[in-house]
Amino acid sequence: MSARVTPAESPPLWLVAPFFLAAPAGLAAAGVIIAGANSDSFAGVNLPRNLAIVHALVVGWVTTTMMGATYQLIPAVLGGRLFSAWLVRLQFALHVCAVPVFVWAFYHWDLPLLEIGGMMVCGSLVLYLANAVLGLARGSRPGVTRWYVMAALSFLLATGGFGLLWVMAMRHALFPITFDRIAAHAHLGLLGWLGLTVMGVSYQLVPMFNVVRGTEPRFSRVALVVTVAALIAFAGVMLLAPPRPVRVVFAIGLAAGPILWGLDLLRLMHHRSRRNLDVQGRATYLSLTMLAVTIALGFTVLAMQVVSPERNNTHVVVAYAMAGVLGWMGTMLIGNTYKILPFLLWYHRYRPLVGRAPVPVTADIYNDRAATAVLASHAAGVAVLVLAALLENTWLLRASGGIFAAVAVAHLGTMLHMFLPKTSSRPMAPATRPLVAR
Amino acid sequence: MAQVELDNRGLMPPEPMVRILSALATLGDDDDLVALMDREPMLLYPELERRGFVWTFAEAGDGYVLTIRKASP
Ligand code: HEM
Repeated sequence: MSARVTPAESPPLWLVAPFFLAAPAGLAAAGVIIAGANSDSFAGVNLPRNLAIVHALVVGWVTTTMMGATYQLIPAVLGGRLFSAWLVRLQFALHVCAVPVFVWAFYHWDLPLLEIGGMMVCGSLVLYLANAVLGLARGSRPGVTRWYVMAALSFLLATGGFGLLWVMAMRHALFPITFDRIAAHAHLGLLGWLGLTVMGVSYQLVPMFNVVRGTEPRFSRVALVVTVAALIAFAGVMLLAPPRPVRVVFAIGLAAGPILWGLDLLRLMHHRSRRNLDVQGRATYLSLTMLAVTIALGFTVLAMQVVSPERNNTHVVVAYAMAGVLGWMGTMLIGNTYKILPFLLWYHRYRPLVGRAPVPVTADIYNDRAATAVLASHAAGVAVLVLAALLENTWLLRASGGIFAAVAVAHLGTMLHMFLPKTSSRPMAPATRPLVAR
Repeated sequence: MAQVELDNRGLMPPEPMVRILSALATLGDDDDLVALMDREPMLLYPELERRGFVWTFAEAGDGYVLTIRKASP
């Protein structure tokens, strides 16, 4: 037949779903550690407890979810084909064993264990990268999302590589780990891996699920190029311990890509034909708000460093990093789980029955009210945490930890609820007879 | 020979797939199902193959047209 492309298949449900179901454990762990915070939480960003919180969030929660999401999207949306299902299972098993060891080792600042945990995490990342890169290479649809994912995967490799190198440098006293070196690793991971994945995937999913018509993103390519260039320059420069004004210039470059992406998303959402927002639409607006807060806090950190470099600004750095990870990325991630997982379930359970029996649609598979409650609680947790950090208030900080632990449990509960059998909320799909017969 | 037309523009996934597969249940041997689409329904194709249909997909205006008919035996 003409104009035919490679048909896509969704990967098996039980290949992808475990990543989504395991990921909230990372948020719960971070929440529990935050809930046990003490007054020295704002004494330094690289305290063992802070490092454990950050890695439980970024490697345990966000990365695990993104692994599941990309394993689903590469074959189903980007037209690729996963290299090996067996490798995905092996990677999942290694990942869920590695993350607790890694976070525990950070928390207790146990360098020999951190080296082992770090190697295990990097092993999981390498297996994931092999499957994802080969999956994308084996037949793909053109489109900007593919380039975002490719770039993000490269930055994940760099992040893991630098992270492990820093651990080994500390363990074997090879060279000092300066704040600049930590900043290089941190920004490669946060913006390079997590940020670019969120940006690229939302260019695909936001128009699809909000039914955006009659407009295209304006800055998708330039936002990618600017972000990649700024990240490479920033990481390179930070490794060389540059003077302060140089850092400021490169840091401004880092903000440009997400700002352009945010403007694009606002325009896409403005042109949506589904006027009633569901949880993913609400999450998109929340995420954009949190991005604006993150960028404002980032510039505040920069300004403080320029004006009074000797002052301890850990509390603002914590507010900035948490607004970015939990706010900008976390809200988007929660919103999209209520699209990706129901679609996966629908595809495997109900698609074979369409035309033969009434089937539920994806909106019947999850509970939008419960999902919105999870999202709103999460956003409240982020607001409390950012406020706690800015006010250096330990009690508020602990309260935010309690909220995140509860959100993790509720998020898992709403996802497990999707697996219960569902019935159609509507009569058989409308088009069972010819609309026009000639 | 009849032509069944479906306007699937402005619908959220998997609604277009549900409407197409439901309409195919009533499609005669020589009939065509012509569906207006916002995007290429990649995940529909394997299901069409499984159910014994063939298709063409082409750009049309600001959207796409998917034409489906029963595969000749
Ligand atoms: C996969 C995504 C990752 C992201 C997004 C990420 C992010 C971060 C961030 C934001 C920090 C700064 C935290 C702070 O100062 O409080 C940091 C520090 C660090 N990370 Fe990662 N990380 C990732 C993976 C890894 C891996 C795989 C390793 C090791 C194998 C690692 C090892 C380290 C080390 C050693 C530090 C600095 C410790 C110190 O302050 O002395 N990270 N990371």
